[in-house]
Amino acid sequence: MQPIVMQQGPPPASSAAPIAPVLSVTNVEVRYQGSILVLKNVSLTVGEGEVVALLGSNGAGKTTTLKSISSLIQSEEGRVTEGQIHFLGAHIHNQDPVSTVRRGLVQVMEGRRVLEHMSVEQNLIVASAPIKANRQRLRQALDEIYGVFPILAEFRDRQSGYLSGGQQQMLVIGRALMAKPRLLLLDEPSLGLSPLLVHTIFKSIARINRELGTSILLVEQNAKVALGVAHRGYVLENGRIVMEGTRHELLNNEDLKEFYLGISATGQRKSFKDIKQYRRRRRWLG
Amino acid sequence: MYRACGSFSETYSDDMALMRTRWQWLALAILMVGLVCYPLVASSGWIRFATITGITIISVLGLQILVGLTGQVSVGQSAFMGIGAYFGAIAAMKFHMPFPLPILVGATGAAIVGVLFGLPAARIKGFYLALTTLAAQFVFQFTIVRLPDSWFGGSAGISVAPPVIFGVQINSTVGFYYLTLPFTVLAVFAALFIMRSRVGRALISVRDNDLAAEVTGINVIYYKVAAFGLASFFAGLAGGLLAYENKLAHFEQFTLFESIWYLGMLIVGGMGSILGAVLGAVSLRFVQEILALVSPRMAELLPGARYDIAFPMINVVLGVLIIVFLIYQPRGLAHLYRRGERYARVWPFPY
Amino acid sequence: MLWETLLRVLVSGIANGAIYASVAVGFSIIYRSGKVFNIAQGEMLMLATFMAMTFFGMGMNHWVALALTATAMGLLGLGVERFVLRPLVGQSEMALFMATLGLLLVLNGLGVIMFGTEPRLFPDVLGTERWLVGTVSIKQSAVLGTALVAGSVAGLAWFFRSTRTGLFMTAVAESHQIARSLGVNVQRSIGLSWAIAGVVATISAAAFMSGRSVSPEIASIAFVALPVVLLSGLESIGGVMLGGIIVGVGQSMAAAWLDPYTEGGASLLFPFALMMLILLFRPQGLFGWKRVERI
Ligand SMILES: Nc1ncnc2c1ncn2[C@@H]1O[C@H](COP(=O)(O)OP(=O)(O)O)[C@@H](O)[C@H]1O
Ligand SMILES: [Mg+2]
Repeated sequence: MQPIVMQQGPPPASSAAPIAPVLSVTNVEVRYQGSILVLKNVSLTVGEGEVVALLGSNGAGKTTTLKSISSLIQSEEGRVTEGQIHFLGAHIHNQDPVSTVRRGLVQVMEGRRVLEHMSVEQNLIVASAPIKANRQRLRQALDEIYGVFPILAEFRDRQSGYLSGGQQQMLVIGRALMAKPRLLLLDEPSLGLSPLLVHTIFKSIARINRELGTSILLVEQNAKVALGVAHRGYVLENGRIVMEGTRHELLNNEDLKEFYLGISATGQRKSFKDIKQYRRRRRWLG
Repeated sequence: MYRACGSFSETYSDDMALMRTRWQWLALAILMVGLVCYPLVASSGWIRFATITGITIISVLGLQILVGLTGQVSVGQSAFMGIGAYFGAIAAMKFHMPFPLPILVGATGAAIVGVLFGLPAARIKGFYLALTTLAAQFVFQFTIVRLPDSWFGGSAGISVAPPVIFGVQINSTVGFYYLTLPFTVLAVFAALFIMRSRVGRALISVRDNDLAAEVTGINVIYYKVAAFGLASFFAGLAGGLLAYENKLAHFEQFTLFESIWYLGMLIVGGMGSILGAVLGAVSLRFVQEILALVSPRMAELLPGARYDIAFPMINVVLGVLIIVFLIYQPRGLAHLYRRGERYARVWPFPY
Repeated sequence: MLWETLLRVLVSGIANGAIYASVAVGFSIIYRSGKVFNIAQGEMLMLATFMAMTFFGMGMNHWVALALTATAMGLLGLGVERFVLRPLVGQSEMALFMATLGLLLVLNGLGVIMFGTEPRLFPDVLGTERWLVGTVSIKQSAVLGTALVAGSVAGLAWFFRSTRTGLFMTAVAESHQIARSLGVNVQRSIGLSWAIAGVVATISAAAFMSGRSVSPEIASIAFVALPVVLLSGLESIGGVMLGGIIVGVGQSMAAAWLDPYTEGGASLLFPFALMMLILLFRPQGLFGWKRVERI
């Protein structure tokens, strides 16, 4: 697979710590079914206008983190059992997910979850649920989305189940924008897409952040593309935050380079043994 | 299963034994003596109640094997009872078979038809499958009514003569009680045996996880369909007994409502256990009996109600019980019983 | 002669098919939203019928009475969802199905207690004219009833496809999780679907009962409507019209050509035989969405 290089340069927001966090997650512990402990003492923040990457390998707890922020975790019998989550000053953990969406926090779930039997435009209209929309304002909101993703306008009457993977990813991101969110949670938007498509999607993500001013918490396994658009990032492992830093700090961190970016100091791919070494070290750090 | 600490079983057969302590044997003996002596103390109305309840238990046990063990819901159990009743009646009246034979013929016939209606289980499950049993209910009724009277008696049904055992004609309320009792006891032990056998464990593994069962070498489809056969066998047995008791096999005794009631007995009693089936059948038949006794009085209280409201009252109360148990006590009376038993066992030192 | 029989078969088949369709659409609306197969749909039709007759009996204008009935049935639907189904959220589809079996018993019992078992005459709300086409007489009430059902089904299909609220409900039908993640109030959509089903039951009553003798046994029409909803597919709203006509006309054909040899059994058995065939060979129906529970 060819590495993807982001062309649009470093993002505009400063790499300094955020002034007023939109989202702050403080010492959160999450359990499924009252017993399975998945997140341990997780803390992170997303500042106004920031793109923050949450990196980690499969099963680290990234999706769980997003779902506990959006409260969607409840439908899987999950709960925040310790700690707090604040969004724009309000407690939002263990709430009705619909009220969280109304506050302006929308999650785009993993796996391009389009409403398969509905058309592209119908998908978008459904996402207008949290806003009070008359006909005219709905039209306006739709046109805005079509402005960000022109391809959606072209296929507006097509049944969304028949779109290609990339188009579906654009649809679910565009759909999330219908509610005009202040914070967008994106769960692995690059999953299963070709490098070219990943590039396009991430360009749109950067544009959304830049032009609409939407703050974004971006979950990725693909650290390289994520750090192409993110201002800051966290690394999650076994349900703990094991590393955090600005885009540059992370891009230059040796461990991250070795493990997530797949390049070692000598320019060779890591062997399994080295990774184990790394893991052991991380355990002490975390 | 709760035992005092310090009492362990030393062999597998010990562990699987039904009766663990002397007290349990004693309780069983007392229960048996009680059942045998019951007609000496009960009025004839309550003796008949016990007979009907015993027959119901047999049918609900069958349903338990299907619903409680394999997780396949049936709303046609009474239709399979009806098939047993009709086959039994024909065997007795047309072919003049001596007493226990017609019942076996009925049960076998019901099992065969049950397997036929269970065949879709090879392809569908959930309430789609429940709908095929619903179809069985209507197909049964319409077929019986519309076929020539000379086959199944049409809308008149088939009269059944009282059974004769060792030259003695059984034709009294008490007689039918003693006729039914051994069948009910036998059915309980048969169901216990099935549940604890290899077959029972296979059925449960089918319920819990199709795929895992398949992988471990269990022929899932075979067991799913076989469960219909077993359930219908019990139903047919019950139906045959009921035909003797009523001296008539008639399709109106085997309605959709009856089928739903049986399912309700499982919900109220508790899914998956023999105890649940027995508790559910006894308690709901008891509720029905009480309602049948009090509803004439209640009808007088209702303005302008001239008709018998026992039947609709039963429906309302049973429907409410089904819903209430589903919401508040989905594990049924059997669960409450076991909890009470555990509590009693440690009383007065609950630690 | 053949043509005349054929015409008669078509006329009665379509009229019956319409009533099956109207009951089937009630099944679909409720199933879509909460994945509950409401087996008590026929009882809702029965209650609507007798409630309307009670209002007629109080000397009310027919249309006022029907509007009142529709309101009451809508509230009943809301109540059922709130107090029976909502406490069971998260339980298996089978538990929900069994709860509606309990509901069937309750509603049936209440209907019989309140209205008795004696058949009564439903007023001619849709007129008493008869038109002669050739030698076949067609009842005005049947024509209007069929049109009313067709109009309602079309209206509902439009509602679920083209209004915001309808689209929210369609989204809920597809996936509770996605709908919730987009800020759709899932529970409210489910409640609304029960209310709509209550109103639809009233429409069915108005469309079909006009000038007929009715008793609480009419509830069993719902079971004949089962093959219709299976044929059209549980999620499809518009499909029920075609499904209804197939079942209705098929049943009329069986009545015309097979019943004489089967003492009336063929037309009774036809819907259930058809249901078994659909379940075996195409359980998702003609227009249904998905991945039916199959092995
Ligand atoms: N519904 C659930 N119930 C129990 N455990 C779960 C559930 N969902 C996820 N997990 C567990 O939580 C851990 C983290 O999962 P997830 O958040 O999906 O990781 P990621 O998104 O980083 O791949 C995994 O070990 C997974 O098995
Ligand atoms: Mg994930």
